[in-house]
Amino acid sequence: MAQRIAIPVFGDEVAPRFCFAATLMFVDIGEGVVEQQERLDVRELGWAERLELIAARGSNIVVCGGFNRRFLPFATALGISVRWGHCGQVEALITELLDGGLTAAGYRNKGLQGCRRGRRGNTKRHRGPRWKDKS
Amino acid sequence: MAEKDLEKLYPLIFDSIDQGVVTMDSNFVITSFNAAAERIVGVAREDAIGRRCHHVFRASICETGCAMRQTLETGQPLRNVRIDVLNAEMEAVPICVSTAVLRDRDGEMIGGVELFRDVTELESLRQQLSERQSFEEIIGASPAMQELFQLLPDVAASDVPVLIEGPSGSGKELIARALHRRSSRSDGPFVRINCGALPDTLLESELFGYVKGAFTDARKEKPGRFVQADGGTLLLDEIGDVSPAFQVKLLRVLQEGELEPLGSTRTIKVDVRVLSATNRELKQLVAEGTFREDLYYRLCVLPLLVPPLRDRREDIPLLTNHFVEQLVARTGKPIRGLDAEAMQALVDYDFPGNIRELQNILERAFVLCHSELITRAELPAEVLAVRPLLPHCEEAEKEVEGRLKPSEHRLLRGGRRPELPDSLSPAAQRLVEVLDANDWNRSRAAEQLGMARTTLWRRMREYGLLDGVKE
Repeated sequence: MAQRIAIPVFGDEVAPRFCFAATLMFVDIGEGVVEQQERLDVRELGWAERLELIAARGSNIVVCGGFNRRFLPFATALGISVRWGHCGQVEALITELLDGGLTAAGYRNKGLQGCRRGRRGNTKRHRGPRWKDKS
Repeated sequence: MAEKDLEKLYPLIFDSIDQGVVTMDSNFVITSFNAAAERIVGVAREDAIGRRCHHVFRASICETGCAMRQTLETGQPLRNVRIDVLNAEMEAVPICVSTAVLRDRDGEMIGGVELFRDVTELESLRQQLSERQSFEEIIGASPAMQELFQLLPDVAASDVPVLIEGPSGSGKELIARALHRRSSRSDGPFVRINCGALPDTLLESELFGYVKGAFTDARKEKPGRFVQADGGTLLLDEIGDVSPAFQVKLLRVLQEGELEPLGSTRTIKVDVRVLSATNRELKQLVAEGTFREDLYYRLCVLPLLVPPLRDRREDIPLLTNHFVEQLVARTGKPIRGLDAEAMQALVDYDFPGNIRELQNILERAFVLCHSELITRAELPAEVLAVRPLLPHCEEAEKEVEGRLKPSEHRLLRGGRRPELPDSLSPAAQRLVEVLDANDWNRSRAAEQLGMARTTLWRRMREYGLLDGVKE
């Protein structure tokens, strides 16, 4: 049976904040393939309504960038597990999901994991001075 | 000091600044991140540099109105934008952000710099201040409410009957509940009964209870509200509406502290603190002979008066913000509050339904609002239609009108289009347009502009629109 995953998106990237994302993407993953994808405009929904929508659409996992910890009990009460700390391209995240990237339990993606994957090209190009190293 | 030596100092200066300082290139990729930024956001410099800023900050405005994007697009700096960011623990941290364009020696834009400070402490102080402006769940900064808040702790600590007078929807029940919670009876029950909603017979059975067979359908014994409230507090709401016959029965119970359930000869002793509330002026009812004087003095050992909202307009913004916060928490809608015009409309409104009406107006606005701020468009017609003046404004208006020349008076009340100056400022032009649209009827124009007629007159005089009027 396919697993339905909800991803708040910002352009072609994972949205930095769950409750401020304009679009919510539902991805059905089953047997290593994406069976279905759907994008919904959720800009007029508050965080509680978003979580209710996710539960109503039969999804019990949210993969996102930032998720205010204060809203976590409400998500848990709806049976939704939240995997935060993701960023970068949505396509890259879906590839990770297809590879079974969400099998680990708990909130393994704390902090900034996955962000580097989202960057393209020469990563050194954007690096600024390391003040401490220089001094 | 040589420039080279100075450059060596920059990193130290950068890290010793108490504010978060972050620079980024024109693609919003972070190029530097100081120690304060690390502390506030909870992300190490090594992790932050090289990443796009929204990956690191996860701010409330990243998607909806990025301050840095605005600065890079317009070249204009922004000062003290209040937002929140999520730290690595996914806790919201309130910050104040200022942004500016970063240029190289040739003046070419190379990115932007963002300065931010953690305002958690400031917010906490604001919270403390707001606590001073409230008592339990009751909110008010007006002198009348502050006076009430000073009284309430002592009233709560005593065990005497209290009469709470105030118009419907002004929060009488909230005060009664607060008194109970702060009293020594707080572990006991708080029981409320609306005396105005029940006929005498039903009120008697509800308050005093009944035994099996006391009347048809009394199939089993039922304890009354007095018994239910034993050891706690009983609120007799709308006490001014009880009949004279029932007043006698109530008086007896209050005097003796004991009652007989309907159909029973057994006397039950109860230990109840009685609070009563009414939207009618009980003393007036006593004078008219419709309310027993002895019962009045039994109930009104300590009178508390809750003023109507129109008499404490300064509390309207405070209450509005409180309800907005409550509604945001309940609905999750990212609404920050009301814009200035909408807030002014609320402050000017009379609120015949008091706080309850304000609450309903905001609930309605929350349903209709699809942006960050509630505007006049989301407020009901009755709030916008009438723009009543405050008593002191009415006095001021009369005073101003008294000083008017007859021609100005005519103009204020409405009339023909006067000769206008050759050049008008955009604001004056806008005023003329509205006046034209209303056939130079000042009352209608003032209403459309959302200002008092005297304000309109002052503006007209300021823009020279009264000069063309011949006596």
